[in-house]
Amino acid sequence: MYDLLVEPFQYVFMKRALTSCLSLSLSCAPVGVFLILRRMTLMGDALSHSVLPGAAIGYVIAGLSLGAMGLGGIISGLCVAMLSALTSRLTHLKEDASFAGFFIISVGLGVLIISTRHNTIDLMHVLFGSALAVNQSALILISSITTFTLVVLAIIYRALIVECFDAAFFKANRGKGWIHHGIFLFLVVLNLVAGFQALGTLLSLGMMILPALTARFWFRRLVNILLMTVGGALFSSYSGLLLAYHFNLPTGPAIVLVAGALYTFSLVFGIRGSMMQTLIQRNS
Amino acid sequence: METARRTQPSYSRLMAFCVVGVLMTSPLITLKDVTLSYGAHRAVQHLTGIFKAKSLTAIIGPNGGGKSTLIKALTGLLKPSSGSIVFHKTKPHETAYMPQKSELDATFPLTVLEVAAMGILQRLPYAARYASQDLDQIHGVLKVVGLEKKAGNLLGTLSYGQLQRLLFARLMLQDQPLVILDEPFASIDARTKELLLTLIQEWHGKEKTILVILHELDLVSKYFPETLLLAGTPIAWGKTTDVLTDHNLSAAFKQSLQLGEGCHV
Repeated sequence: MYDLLVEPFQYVFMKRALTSCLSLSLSCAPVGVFLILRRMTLMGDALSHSVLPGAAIGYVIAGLSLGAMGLGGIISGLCVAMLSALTSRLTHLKEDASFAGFFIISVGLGVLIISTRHNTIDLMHVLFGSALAVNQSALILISSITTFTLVVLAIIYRALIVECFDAAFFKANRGKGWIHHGIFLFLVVLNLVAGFQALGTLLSLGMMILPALTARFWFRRLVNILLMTVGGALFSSYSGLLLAYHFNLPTGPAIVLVAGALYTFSLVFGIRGSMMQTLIQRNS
Repeated sequence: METARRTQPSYSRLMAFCVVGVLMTSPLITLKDVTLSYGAHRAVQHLTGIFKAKSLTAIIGPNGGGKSTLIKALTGLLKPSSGSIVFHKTKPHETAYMPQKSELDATFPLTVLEVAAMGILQRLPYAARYASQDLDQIHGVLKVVGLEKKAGNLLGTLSYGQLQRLLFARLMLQDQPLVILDEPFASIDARTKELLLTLIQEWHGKEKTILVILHELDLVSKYFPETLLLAGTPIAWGKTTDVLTDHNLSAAFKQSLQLGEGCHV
């Protein structure tokens, strides 16, 4: 049992992988809860793709450095967000449509840039990451992002909830709802970036969305939902890494698939509005 | 009103209060030839008039007559395409506003207490906990609306009438000089309706300025001293007895046919 559950984490690379993933769980999970409450899950998906070209340029210049990839990612993510806003303002397209147009261009561009390195391993690295390659500086960056995210969330927590529950009310009371919206979007991009190395640019969103979706099938109160989300993310990180270690799997997909399995199970068997619940209620 | 002010130590509010004290029955909001439009569609045209401070005004008119659009402009959510709206002693964010029916998500993971507590959002610093006197006050208003035993319940467990009463509690906590209600009487039960009428009288007694959109003409003539009859263009605005004449109502009806909508007057 010890060999199975603890022994793998004696190696430094596994220790770093575990620390970075647990740290990611702490901040990505609550951000995901708010992403869902604000009905912005697909927006999050689009954002996670938009960061690709910037991350790719960072990668081509500096290799698998979280700092360079992250900076590039933030810049290209913000560019796509602003271009989409501009498009929806100056044309008849709505923001979701213009976002979709730009994010798919971003993916094409990103893949093209990485492929200039003539190496498919590079492509795999950027798209799917590797928690095992997390070095000390990346670890510091990830934990800084976690700390920053949690502090900011604590400060704007109530405003964020009120604004997404009743936007008109919030605007009439505090005014300027877009400031909180902007801060929140920035947190989303920041956490996607933090997930680059451990989970990859394409899977970074998984840690954010899946545990948060899972929790909604078990709890109704926000505090419980948040706790369960963080718990689920921590569990997925730990067991995903173990699976990756024992079966020689890539870490990102392993972690995301554990979270995915929890989600699928909850979707069917959860106690709050799951498929089973709905069917039982219909038949009774 | 005065005691409530003391708990909100903001300079601009203090100023507003002093000015309210000096000027008695003067205008609170002045509208000058206001036109409100959505793109090419003009919902309200050439509206000129005054909402007096401390007045209780019913806003009536056919559907599509621009009542809700006017409210949007008064709460700062929509800018007039021409004309001007001047707030004399209050600002759009010093308004307690209750939207039409509630377009709120009842599955949102919040408790009754948390929703009522939004009423004190404006005076609560970021990241601050609720002080014990805040909680006392919140429980107090929940008691007034008959939801004191539901404080810990989730929003999803409330009936429609209860949800509406919860929003009244939130309005009471906001305690703003200007109260705007958009169709608060639509499809509510007798008890909730009675409570709301009592609250409106109480607010009126506390010298708040109150604007209410409604369709029930019997309530208008019974409880509202002033009325604005709006059907795209203003038909009449003034004392309710002067506004609710057959002549005015049939004029509004004719206008509403031009608006191409059913008439509720």
